Amino acid sequence: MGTNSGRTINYLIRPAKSIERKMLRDGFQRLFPFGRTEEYQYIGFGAKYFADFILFHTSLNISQMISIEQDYTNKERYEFNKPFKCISLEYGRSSDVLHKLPLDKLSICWFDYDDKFSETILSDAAHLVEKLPSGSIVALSYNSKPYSLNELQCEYGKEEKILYKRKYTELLGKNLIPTGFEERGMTGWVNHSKVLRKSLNSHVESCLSTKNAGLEPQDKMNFSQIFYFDYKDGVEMSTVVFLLFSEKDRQRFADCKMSELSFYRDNDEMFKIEVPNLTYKEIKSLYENMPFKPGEGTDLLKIVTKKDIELFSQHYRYFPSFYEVQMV
Amino acid sequence: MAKIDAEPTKEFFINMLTRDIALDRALLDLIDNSVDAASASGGVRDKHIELEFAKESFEILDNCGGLSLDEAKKYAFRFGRDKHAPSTPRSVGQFGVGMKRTLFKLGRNFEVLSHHHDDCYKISVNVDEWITTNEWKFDFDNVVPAECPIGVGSTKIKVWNLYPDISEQFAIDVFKNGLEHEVSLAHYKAINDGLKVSINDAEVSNYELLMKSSNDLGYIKKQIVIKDVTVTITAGVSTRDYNTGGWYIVCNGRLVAEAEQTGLSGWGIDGIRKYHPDFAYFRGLVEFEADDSSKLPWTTTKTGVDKDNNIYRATLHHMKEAMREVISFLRERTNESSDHKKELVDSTPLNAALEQAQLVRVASLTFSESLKKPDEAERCSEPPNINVHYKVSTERLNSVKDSLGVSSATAVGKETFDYYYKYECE
Repeated sequence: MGTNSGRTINYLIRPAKSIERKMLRDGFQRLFPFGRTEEYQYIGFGAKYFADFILFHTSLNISQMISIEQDYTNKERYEFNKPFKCISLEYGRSSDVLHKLPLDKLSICWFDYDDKFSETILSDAAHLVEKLPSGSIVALSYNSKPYSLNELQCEYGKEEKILYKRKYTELLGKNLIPTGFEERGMTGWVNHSKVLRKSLNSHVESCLSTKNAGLEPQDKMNFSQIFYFDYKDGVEMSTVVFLLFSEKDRQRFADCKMSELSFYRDNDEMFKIEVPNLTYKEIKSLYENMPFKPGEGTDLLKIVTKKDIELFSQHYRYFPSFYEVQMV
Repeated sequence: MAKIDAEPTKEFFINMLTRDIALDRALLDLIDNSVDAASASGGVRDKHIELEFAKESFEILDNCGGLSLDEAKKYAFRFGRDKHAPSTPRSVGQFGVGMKRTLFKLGRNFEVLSHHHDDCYKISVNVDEWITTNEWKFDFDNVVPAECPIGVGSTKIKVWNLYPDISEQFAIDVFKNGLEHEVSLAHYKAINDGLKVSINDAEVSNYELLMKSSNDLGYIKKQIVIKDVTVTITAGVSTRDYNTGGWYIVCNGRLVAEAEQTGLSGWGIDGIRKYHPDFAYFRGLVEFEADDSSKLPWTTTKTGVDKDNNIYRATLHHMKEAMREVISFLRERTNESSDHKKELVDSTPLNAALEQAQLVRVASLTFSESLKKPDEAERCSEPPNINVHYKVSTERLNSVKDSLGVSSATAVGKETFDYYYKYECE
């Protein structure tokens, strides 16, 4: 009767997502210059498991929580599964529901779309940044799998010479395509993810610029990208997180010191959440070697690769805790 | 007789001048001037225009030939075009207002530095001060050519103390991206001929206007001359793209209308159908060329055409003729697709020709009086197969399913039909 420690982590339990969730929690804890986290409301897409709701309620003490659920045919199931009384459910698509929500309150909004990047994401982002007050967070997660050449040729015909530019123009609109856009290299995940991130930034900038035109200088709203994650639990995903702050709250933003977090990213260099391919037994041993200084030697290098140790070292504080038991 | 002083104030003048033009159009005017200078001094190949802008300042630097001191003194800095001004053949700038309008629109301080052959000079203006004087003159300084900060044949224009609305626009990506797109379209010809334009260090991409051409599928290209204006009309098909289909109108090499899909270019008038997804393959190009650019049918902001201009109206007649042929082909193609689905034809030569034809640069096409296209396939008068639809109650359907031993409604339909046919028709 052995143990299952010889098996590696099952990506179906979404370990990268779990790591991301905890990193976001750590980021949100730093919002105290704008107010205690209890004062914030959280709006997300809880689905059936409400993992983000559970984490943020227990770690951040947020009690004003709204879950947007598009499966309105199964309301009883979601009411049954919601983990806390303080979660209220709003049924419908995000773009239909947003106008009903109290967006004039200090909020953390994490919209975790399952689908590929679409117009909906742009329009939801616009709605949020135009309404939310200073100190609010807008986090958007989406499938960032790049388009294959074959897929675009099927859609536009083999003759079309500017396949990617055309696709992005239809997806984002011509004003969001960055200058100097190159067709070559767009089949890769990294480049596709960067185009989406840049477009989101340009889009938010444009929306706020229009809003700010009618405001006094100290009320003008600024935005700062604080996190940019790429990860793959089976499917390529990306997350971009913005913090909104008015000109008069510029010092509060500085006091959050978000840049102290090792996974802080305010430009197009993403933080890649990559879970190393290790067995449970190896993980247990590695924990005992942490914190790990690069260049340090260890017996474990005979068993696992240097890259795996580095990856582990980057993420171990955020690893999900899980147990697997083999029933004989 | 007593008199009323009707002299215009400088403020009024500047206000009226800068009001009717959008910021992106104003910047395009400066680029137009540089392109004209390049054309007049040996061509656009290997010339470059660099725009740099941010919250605090704007700058445009080009090596397109420079502006001579004589031109600057006598014409470039006058409002309106002097009747003695030499004509610049085939120019884009011609209303005598572009550069001045843009400079006054952007900010409170501007400087034009130019190095033309042996002249190097600088015109610096502080608008707030200039407004207070009664003189309609600008001061300039000569610069020793050896000490000139820019090379021979270059011009550098700088504006600072930008107005707040301008400054805000310059700071956002969406404005920069939109401008890049417009520049790549407006000057697609010059850029394809070798001109390099950059906006904040990013090179403006080159836009190619392409049409399909093969042995089986052609296009229409003809040329006419109307009162000293040469008009070239090309109409054909390209990739299926609803947003980019339509007419493209060019005046002296400068694109003024892109993907025109309205009555302005003939859609929906005089029996021609309105633009429609079936016509998403259509591409048309109209090029107006004249030595005297004031004869061309464009507006002062160089967007779109002046539909009341006689030359444009005469051209529209020819555009409609060409359009009719291409639209007719596209309608035949749509019909062929639906006939094929209904099994009324067994081959699709029109669709095949469309798919197989190669995309070619419009500039390289030779003249062609009419649209070459393949013959349509023979059509049957009635289709070989027809779908039968009818409703029956679920209860009765389930009884028949059991009786026949089948599980789908389609199988029931087919087997009951075959059963009747076998016993009553065969």
